[in-house]
Amino acid sequence: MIPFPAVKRRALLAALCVVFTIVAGCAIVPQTHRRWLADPTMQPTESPLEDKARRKLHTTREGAAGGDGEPAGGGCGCGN
Amino acid sequence: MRKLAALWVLVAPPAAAQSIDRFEMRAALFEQFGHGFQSRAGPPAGPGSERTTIWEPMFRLVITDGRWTHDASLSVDVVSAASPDALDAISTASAVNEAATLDVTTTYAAGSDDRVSVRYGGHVEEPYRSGFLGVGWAHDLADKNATVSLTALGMVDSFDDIDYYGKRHGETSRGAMSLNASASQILGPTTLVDASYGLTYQRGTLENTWNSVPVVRDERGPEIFPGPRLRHALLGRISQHIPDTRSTLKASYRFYGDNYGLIAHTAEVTAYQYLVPWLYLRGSYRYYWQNGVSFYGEMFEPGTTPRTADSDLAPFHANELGAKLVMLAERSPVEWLRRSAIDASFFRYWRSNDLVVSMFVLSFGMRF
Repeated sequence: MIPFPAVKRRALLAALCVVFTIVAGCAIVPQTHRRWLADPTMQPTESPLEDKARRKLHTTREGAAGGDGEPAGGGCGCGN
Repeated sequence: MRKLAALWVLVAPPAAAQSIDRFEMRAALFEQFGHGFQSRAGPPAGPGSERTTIWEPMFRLVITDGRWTHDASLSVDVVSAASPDALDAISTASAVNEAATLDVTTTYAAGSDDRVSVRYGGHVEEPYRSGFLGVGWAHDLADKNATVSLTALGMVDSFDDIDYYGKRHGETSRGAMSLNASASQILGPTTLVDASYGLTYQRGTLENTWNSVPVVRDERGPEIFPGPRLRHALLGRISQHIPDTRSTLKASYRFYGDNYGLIAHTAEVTAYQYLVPWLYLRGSYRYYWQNGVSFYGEMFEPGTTPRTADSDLAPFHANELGAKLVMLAERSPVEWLRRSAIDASFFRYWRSNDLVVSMFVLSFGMRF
């Protein structure tokens, strides 16, 4: 059996705790009670164009692109 | 034949009357100062200048028609000193460069809880062309309390193989395939969480062929990457609204790792505060840390491979502070303003390895 490093085991345990806490906290919120969730400040993407401009700065000046639903490593003249 | 018909359903323009839902114009200005060892705009063994100015007008148009939504954006970059290394140091050919990107997403609401989409577009600049095509699916669960989505996107880049002396060796290319899974969950009337995982595989010419590395005895050599690159990224975020003070707080964390040995951590906090019902202020702070790729260096022996001196792939940490003022004109007491939206933002980004970028963004939008 391949030994599972203690640090990875602790990280997995912590991740599972977070997931279980979130799942346990899930409640069905009726659509009539989602007024605050519909507020412009609560949207995941406030402005797609501003997000594009910021993403361009981060993906061209940092080595870690991707993971946010956007492509990584292409579409710009940089090899990051 | 059936597959072709299904694809046509996704990409064909709807026959019924369309209506323009939204139009936005945005202008961003980037001012960058700094130095990097990949740049030839400096002494042979030392870092060269990375000074550049980018002006980026952007346009977005959203057209809806029943179950169909077409979301198209066009951004144009006017770049000074686009490549402050071989091209500028030798020929100044790209001292001013222009680039344009078209990005279109067509979404079809297949049912009350399902959406399928096609995304396509391209990017053109000297000496670089790129095209992308992708598909997506989103599904709402539990009376839209949760949403899961999957996207896949393929991208092909074709560019001139220009070496660090500015000499052209024909064309070369690279390709990338990205898969992304994301989920969002309402935790309560004021709390939302979302998470995503992304995987990207790249192969082809991944180096910047015009980037150079310092080699002993005051010489320069080409940048050489180890081969295909596999990237993983995991993002988690929580958003909390506080009705009593009309404030919103968001916090996110992102982990990144790839087979080039690069590990990165990103943490970001954002706070929103309504000043009046139609005006809010946003402040944000982002911290980024990366360990650098395993083959980064600032001086190499001849024949060392792989190798890079690109300061963007070096070990560093970065900070970013941002502020934004947003006028939600649809809530404005002024009647004629109610179909528009105006905002202005400023970001200051600084890295531990000599790079500072300031970004100003001004936006005007109309809803129809």
